[in-house]
Amino acid sequence: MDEANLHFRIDTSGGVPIYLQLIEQVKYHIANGVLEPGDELPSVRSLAERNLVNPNTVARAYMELEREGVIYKRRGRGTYVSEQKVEMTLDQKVEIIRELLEKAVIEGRQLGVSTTQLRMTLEQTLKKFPRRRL
Amino acid sequence: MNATKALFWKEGREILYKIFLGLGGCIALLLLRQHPEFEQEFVRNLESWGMWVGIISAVVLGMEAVATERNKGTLDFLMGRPIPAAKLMLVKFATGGASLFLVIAAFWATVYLFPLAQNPVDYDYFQWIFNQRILTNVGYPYLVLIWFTLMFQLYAFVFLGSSLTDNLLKTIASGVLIVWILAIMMILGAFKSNPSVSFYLTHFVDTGWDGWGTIVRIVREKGLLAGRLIFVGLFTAGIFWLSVLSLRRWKGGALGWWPILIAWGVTGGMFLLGGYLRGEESFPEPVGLWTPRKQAERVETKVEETSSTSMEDMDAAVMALMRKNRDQGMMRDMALQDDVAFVALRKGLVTIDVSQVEEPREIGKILAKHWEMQKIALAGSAAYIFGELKRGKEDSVGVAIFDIEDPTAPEMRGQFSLDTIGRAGSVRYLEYLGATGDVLYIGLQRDFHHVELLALDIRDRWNPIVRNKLVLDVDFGQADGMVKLSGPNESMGFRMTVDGHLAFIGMETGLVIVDLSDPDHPEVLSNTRLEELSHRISGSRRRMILVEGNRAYVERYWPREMVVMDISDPRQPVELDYIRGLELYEQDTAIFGESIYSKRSWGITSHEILDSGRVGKVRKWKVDTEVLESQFMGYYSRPGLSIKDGFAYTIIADYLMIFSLDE
Amino acid sequence: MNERAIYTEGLTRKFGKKTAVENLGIEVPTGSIFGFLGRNGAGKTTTIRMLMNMIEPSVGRAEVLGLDPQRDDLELRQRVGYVSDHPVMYDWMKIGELVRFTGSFYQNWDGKKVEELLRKFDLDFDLKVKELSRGMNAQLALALAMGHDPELLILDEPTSGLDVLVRRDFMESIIQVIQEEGRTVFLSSHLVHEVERVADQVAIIEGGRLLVWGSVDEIKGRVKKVLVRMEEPAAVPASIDGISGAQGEGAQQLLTVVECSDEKLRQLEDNGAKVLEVIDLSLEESFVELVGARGGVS
Repeated sequence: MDEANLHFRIDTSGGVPIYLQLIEQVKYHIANGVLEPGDELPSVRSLAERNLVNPNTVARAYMELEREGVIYKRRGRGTYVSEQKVEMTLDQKVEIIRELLEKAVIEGRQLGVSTTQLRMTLEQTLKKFPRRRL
Repeated sequence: MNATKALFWKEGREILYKIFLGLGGCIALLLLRQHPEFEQEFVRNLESWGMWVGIISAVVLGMEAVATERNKGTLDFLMGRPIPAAKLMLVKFATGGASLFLVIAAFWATVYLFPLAQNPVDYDYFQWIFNQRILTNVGYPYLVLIWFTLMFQLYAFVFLGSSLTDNLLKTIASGVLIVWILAIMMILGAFKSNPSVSFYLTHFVDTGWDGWGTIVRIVREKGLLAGRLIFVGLFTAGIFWLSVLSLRRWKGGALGWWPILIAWGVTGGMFLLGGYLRGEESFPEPVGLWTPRKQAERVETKVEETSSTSMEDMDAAVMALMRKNRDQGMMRDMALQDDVAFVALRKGLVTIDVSQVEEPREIGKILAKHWEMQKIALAGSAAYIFGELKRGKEDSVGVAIFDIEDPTAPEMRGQFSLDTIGRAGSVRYLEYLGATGDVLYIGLQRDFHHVELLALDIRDRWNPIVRNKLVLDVDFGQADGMVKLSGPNESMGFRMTVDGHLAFIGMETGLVIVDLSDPDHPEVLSNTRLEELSHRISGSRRRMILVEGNRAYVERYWPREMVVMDISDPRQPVELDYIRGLELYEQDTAIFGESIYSKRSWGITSHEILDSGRVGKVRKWKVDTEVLESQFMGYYSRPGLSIKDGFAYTIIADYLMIFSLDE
Repeated sequence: MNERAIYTEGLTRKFGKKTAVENLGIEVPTGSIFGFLGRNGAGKTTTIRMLMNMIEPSVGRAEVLGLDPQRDDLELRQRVGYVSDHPVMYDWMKIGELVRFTGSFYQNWDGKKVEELLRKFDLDFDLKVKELSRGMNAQLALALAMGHDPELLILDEPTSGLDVLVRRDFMESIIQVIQEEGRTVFLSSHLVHEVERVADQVAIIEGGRLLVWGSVDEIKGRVKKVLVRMEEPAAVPASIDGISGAQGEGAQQLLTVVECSDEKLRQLEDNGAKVLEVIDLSLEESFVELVGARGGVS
């Protein structure tokens, strides 16, 4: 995996702490297959520098991920995506989606888009992105 | 590269263009000097040029030291580095100082390497000699040192100003400090009777390039030179320390305009105060006055204001006035005996009772036909007056003898010509006429190479007999390499005074002491050469001599000062010390008590001579301006100065004036 | 090594009648990136100048790397890298000359490191300082400040007026510095959004006084905007404190709430304001609300 492809998007406009955003996005990349088990993660340093984020913040994210078992550290060798396949429970996966959906719905409400329209849009999107075959 | 070297490199690079400017300026001056007209001006005002070069250099080199860095913002850069403020300032100070030294050295180098052009035109010639004399006697290294020590002080002030402000205008305005100091000095000058202050100012601050040759004195006397260096060193170190403090104290900010303007205001005030204080000094006026002219006869004393204001017309008007006034009754000389003043008028003799000093009274008068009187000497019942006898084609020079037993009725009793006695030949100049006991002594010059001392026996007051004459060669003991100035009309080469039985003659070479105790055999006891610091060119002035007790005060031409000699053994006069600060271009001097009194064209000054050889208290007696304006007549007089019983009697303008010497 | 790189207590500075900094008390932990935020003229530069002993405090004291800036200023400057706002360097010098000149004052100057940095910034050694653009000038100043491997970097508005790319480079360098052990960065800026990504802690100063101080997340948590629908189109009850602003007319209003808590939300509901949404603010928005409220301008 090429580090250059590993993209993080930090959004400071909302209230979500940066380290949480990082954690989320790492998990996201793993879920998408961008990061596969055994892949080496960028060092704290390089992640911090490339994304102009405080290294402590990165370190904190990594620490949390490690605690959750998503990644592990090899002394002197780097940080890697956990070997054992960490299955996100369905609940966890759904939770991620729920949050995103909630945002979309709230936005829709604010804009005054009708429930019917929202549902229609969901259907269209599902059709647009069929299930991915691994 | 270590820190100090780095700082010197930076300061040096930044100041380099100024050094080039300075050197360029010196070269530009040199090129300008190739034009004869400019060179004339340059030679005439050499000292001024030197001062301007020095002042401008000092100001330009010092003014940007800190102010510009503050202005531009680079000071912040420096202050953020681990550099002690003192080191930073020291490097700046030293670099500017060294540059100043370079420019001054360059300027004087051009003067020494490309000598001053000699200009034979009148006044400029003397200026050339004067300047040349200084250059030769001081020498290049010392001259640079003296100049630098003065300009360095100015530089330090500007440097201080720069460290307080943040732009050049303020730096220059805050050179108010300099003005402040000058103002204080002027106020101190108001108390100039304190000679220590003027001594320090003259020797340690200023260049000493003055008519007294102070600069030569400073350089020759190691004590003075060392004193100057120490003073300047300490003084500038103090100013420097203040600038370091101001940098530490006012790191970010700088002196605003308000404090500067206030300082200007205060300085201006002190300036005025100083002038006021000095203005307050009043000089005692004469207590008694007498003039041969009656009020009605008061002659025109002012040059008429003509419609034309050209210089030539003014000169012509002045000359005309002088010629006109010269024909009026003029007082020529005066001598005191008992309570009577005997005044030799141009045309005769007048006696004045001065027992009441406030009311001098004319009591007797006699006119001497055909005579033009000049000098008077008294011997009890006789008065001897030297003058010119005009008898148509044959003018001669001689002495008229008056009977003054009864001062109210003086009578002419005899005369003798000087043309035919002693060494025959016309008399050019009579310096001394005086009587001691039964001998009349005359000192005169017939030509410019000989001084003649005549002794006449006046036991018979009306028939003097020549006892002896002593002729001294003016080149008597001439120093090697002494070069005489031009022309026959120049030199009147000696002064003489008699004390007891010794005659003291100030010759061009120095002091000659003659023993007159045996009038038949006058004996030269000693001929002491006085070292002149200028050994190339001799002056043509008469060497002033004053004698009191065991001390003789002899004028040295160069540098101008009075040499104090111990004459307890007249065969071996010993040079003890010298006195500076006496104004020696007076018309006559006398010693009385602890002071030397000298008559000036405007009054009398007295200088107290202290044991240490320094001048102590200075007093002045000044005459009313209106009286002075009749100066034109005084131009031709040769007044005497006599001191008696706490009063000074002298002739100023056309007045006999009596001053009280009481405090 | 000290726990705190910078510590101030009651730090005050007056200029005549005007008080530029008043009673400032902050603590910068070693190893952190500390953002010192405030509007222009709030007192940031004055504070920094006191830390560097370029001016003296009127009252109070400061401690930098455990040292007293007034007494130990020379030693401090050996260990602190300082970049002033609008750094001015000798314009007649070439970059190479300036580097050598600056390096001569320091005991542990790493010329190689400076060279590397300059190469990274693409600055030619033979360029004269006067030929540099604003951005290049700022980069040069930063490079020089880092040349002696300082334990503490104090940067006063280092990126103001610089373009995006240069700013990125700057931030990157700062982050690189912080990677090393015991290194601290104290950074003042009015560009809040830039600082919030990299700062561990932030202090906001306004009118010379400290407004808030804490981690970015803490401060962001202080202010929230709450969207409510009023039962009656009336003004928001003033009895609920912490409500510092209201936007909108009619039924729906957007309130600014400081120290928003569940209790406050309940209070709102009780007062006839139905909470529709609670919106998080960015640090910049929080800054605006906090400072604006303080300054009385909304």
